[in-house]
Amino acid sequence: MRMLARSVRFALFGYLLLLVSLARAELTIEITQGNDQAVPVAVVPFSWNGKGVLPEDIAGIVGNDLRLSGQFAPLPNNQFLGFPSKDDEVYFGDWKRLGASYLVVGQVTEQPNNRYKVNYELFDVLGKKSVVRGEVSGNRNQLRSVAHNISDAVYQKITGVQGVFSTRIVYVVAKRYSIDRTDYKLVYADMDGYRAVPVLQSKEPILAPSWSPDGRKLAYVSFETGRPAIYIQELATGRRERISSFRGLNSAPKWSPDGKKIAMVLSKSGNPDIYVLDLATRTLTQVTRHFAMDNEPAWMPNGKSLVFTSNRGGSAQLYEVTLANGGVKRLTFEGRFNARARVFPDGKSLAFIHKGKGDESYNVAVQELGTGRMRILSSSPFEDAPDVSPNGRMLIYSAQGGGQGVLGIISADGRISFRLPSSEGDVREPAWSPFLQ
Amino acid sequence: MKEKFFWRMLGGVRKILRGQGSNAWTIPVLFSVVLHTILVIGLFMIMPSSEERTINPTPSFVSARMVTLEPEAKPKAKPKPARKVAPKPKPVKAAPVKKAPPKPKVDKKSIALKRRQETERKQQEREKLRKEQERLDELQKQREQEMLAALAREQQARMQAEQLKGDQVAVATYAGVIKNLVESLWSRPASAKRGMKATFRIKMLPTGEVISISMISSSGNGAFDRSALQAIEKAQPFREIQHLESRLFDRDFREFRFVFDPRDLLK
Repeated sequence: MRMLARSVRFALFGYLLLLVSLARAELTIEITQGNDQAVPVAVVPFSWNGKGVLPEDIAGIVGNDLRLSGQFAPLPNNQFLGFPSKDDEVYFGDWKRLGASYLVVGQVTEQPNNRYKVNYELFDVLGKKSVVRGEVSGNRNQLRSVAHNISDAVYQKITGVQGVFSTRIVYVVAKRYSIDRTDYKLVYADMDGYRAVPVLQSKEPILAPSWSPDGRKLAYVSFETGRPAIYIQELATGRRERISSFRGLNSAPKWSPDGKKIAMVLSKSGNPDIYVLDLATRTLTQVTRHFAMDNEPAWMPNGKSLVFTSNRGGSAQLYEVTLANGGVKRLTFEGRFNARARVFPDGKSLAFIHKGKGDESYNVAVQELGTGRMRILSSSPFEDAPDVSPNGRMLIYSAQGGGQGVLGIISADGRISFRLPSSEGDVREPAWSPFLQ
Repeated sequence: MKEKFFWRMLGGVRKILRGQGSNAWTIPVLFSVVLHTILVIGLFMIMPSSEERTINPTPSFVSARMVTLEPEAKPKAKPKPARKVAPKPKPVKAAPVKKAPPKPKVDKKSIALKRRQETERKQQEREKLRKEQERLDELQKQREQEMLAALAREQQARMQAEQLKGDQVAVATYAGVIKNLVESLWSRPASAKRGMKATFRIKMLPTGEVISISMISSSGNGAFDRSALQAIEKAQPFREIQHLESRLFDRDFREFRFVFDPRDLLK
């Protein structure tokens, strides 16, 4: 009985203990989703220590780069309460009141020999601290590169993803003067559309530019001899080489990820099929063999298979062919038309042109390969030739605007899109460079 | 009267706790304690008993206000023995004393003596009975007191449980408000992926102002951690918390945790 009494006391004690532990458990609030709005950032015009006028607005370029990414919302600088250029001039409270999450400041200093030194610093306004600072220098012509460099550093710090603002694009511009005179130009430009320079001009069509994985060469189709042929051109020297001029079609060259091969479409056997050309040995391997039209090959990042367009199923759809055994698998099933695929750098998604059942328009779409889930990204009436940025966060494509082609950039989630400034003419077939050294 | 009873009751409880109570009380008390324990365990099943009480459901703010309106309304649980008391012990009827069978008369003296003896005996017997009765009364009283004490305890536990439930709703509601605010302002960086997790400890003032944020565990991705911190900074002060009664604020919101665990992301 004593034992019983003791156990009673014990039970009472345990009961109290439970109540106490109940009271002491720490509350945890789980944040399981986000809103992913564009991050508001203030890019303050950089101070200028030098003679005359600074030839480029560095802060303006940085702000525009960040805006193009779709992940940032630069604040208009007429709202700024001050224009700090160094850390000791920054009052975080001012910027927080403006709604800025981040702040970029900097100074440009003139150096001898027409050079410029640019110092910048990125601040976390809400965390009230410096995130990264750096110094970049260059000559007058390199100031835009300097600015893109800063954009890359800022982007990388905030998003954890490598920026693409220092990468380039190429595209084709056709300018029509009369019914029998059209000038074609292959144009090389910054990814924001500026500093565009032609690398090839022709009176005959130029098509389907493709970057070598080291970013030094281009492959493209030119009709300069009167019929299509595939050329390789070195960007630095302008040196060109014709690598394929078979009877019939020579089209859609696409460099392999290791840079050693080029996939292309040839119709030398009477019907368009996919081939792979080994650049070192010049041996040609036929990859698809089908009476239907196979077109527009794109390499998977591992280089072991190709995605291509074929109408073998009755409508244009995307397929994947494994190089080792020639096995073909259909990838798209939704809609009447899915074509001109480009593979995301992670190999997990495709970007392509989609036309749905009953749709009037052709739009850029992205499909996850794992789930087969497809999203249509944009909604202008006639879009073509999407290409994916090397970090997989943006796409470039051509669209019809005012009767002629213009370039559009859209964030990979499809939320934000922009038109790139471009020279006069019909702009088509953009190709986004890899990361450049 | 009330007080007297209360003290006696306390004495009884003390006796039990010291293990001095009569053995007869142990079983009912044990029974009541077992009942309590079951009640408490039941409570725990409703309320997650793990180290961290994780608030996931997000009750709407509307219900929050409803809850806030009745903060201190609940009276502190008091043992209320008074009403039901009636501790009058039932007088135990003394068993009718059996009359000795009439004996044949012997003589007057002996009769007188016998009578005297008889009365004495009767008196003694009566005395004994009275004492027994008293003891019985005492026991009865004790038993009733004990029962009442158990009842009071049980009632208190029930009220506590009810209050806990109300508290839980209030806390979950305000946690939900804070969760929604932070989620609506969390802009995940491009590198954020499902499976990344960052935990922060927050210290907050009753005004809703966050006075300190410290990272308990990092996601391993600096951009992710910074975005989470920015979301908290942007969302605070959590002014809504001013409507929560201070007892609960002190208990749960003066210091609490955020876990950033983006389950809606891919990969």
